[in-house]
Amino acid sequence: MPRYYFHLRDGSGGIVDQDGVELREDAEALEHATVVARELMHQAEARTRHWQLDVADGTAQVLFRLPFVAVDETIKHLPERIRSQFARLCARKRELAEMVHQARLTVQQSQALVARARGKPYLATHRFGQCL
Amino acid sequence: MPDRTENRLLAALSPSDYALLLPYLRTTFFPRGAILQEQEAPVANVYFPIGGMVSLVCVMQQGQCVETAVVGREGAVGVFAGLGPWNAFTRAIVQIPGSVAVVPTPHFQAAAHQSARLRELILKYKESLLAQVQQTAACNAVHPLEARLARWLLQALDRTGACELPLTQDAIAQMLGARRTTVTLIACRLQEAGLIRYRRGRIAILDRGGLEQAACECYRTIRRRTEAVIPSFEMGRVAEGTG
Repeated sequence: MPRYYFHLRDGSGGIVDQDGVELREDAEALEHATVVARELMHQAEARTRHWQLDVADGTAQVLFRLPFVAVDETIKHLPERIRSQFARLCARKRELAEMVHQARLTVQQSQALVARARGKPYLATHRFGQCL
Repeated sequence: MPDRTENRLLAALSPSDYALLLPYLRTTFFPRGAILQEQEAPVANVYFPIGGMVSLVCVMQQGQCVETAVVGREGAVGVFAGLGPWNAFTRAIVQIPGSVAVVPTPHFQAAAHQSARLRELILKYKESLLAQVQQTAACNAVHPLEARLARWLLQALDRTGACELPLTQDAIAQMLGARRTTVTLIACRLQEAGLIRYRRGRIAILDRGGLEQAACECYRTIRRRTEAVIPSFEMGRVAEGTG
């Protein structure tokens, strides 16, 4: 049976699924992704609606992407038009959050570089506070 | 003989009550997955964990299991059988291996029959267990998985008294009623936040204060209630403020 990997994009660095799960076929992988998305989202919909699962195969090829908003039960009652607006908004929010995260990382890395260049590596910080 | 101070319930017994049980107490080591009592089966023994942790799980007809409470060195499994010949309401399964002091139920019943204080202690403990079960039921329904996982890790930490927990993600997933993938992703997020470190079936707690902030209110509520009912209940330190 092929192994599928479920990588989480949570608006920051994201989580790479290193273990994966053996499933029969793509349809089953989509079903699994839907359950996992709902479990992660449950009772935290507003906070996690912009997250996404990227389902990849063993060759790291992304087979399909599942935005959480697409399987969000709490907005199921809304008209299709509103839901698609929601989906676009969530995608933008995620992209923006990822960009902000990336920018912060770059700033940190340059700060660390400068600190090391000055011979003060202890000034380099990681995750906004913890010393490297 | 077990060192009775290692189990808070045994430690809370008066010397005369303890003397009633002492001749029948045996210490046994239980591996992960050992079933101490089966749901709806007669309670053969009363178990006082010294180390490790036991999950009480409710088993549904179709085989699904949901954890309703955890028991460690602050409590006992099957203790209610001391008051009568009841069948177990839940399955008790060893989640974290450890030593357990075991008393056969008939001897425990005889001791409870003789001692009003022992009966009182049984009722007190059942009250704290009921408080935990109620809170857990509400928590399972309304709190997100990430907060529940943090609560569960803290509870395991308090009960074992260790800072590293031998736990597989499969076991955690089963206890929280979630897919393994979900638990892996959440555990990685907690790891990214610097709260835990997961490696080969062992979870090390790096930032207890941070984990308490990530947990839902239920962790503190359950802890407070248990402490209120069993005064000698002293578990791990509650960190103040941020970690």
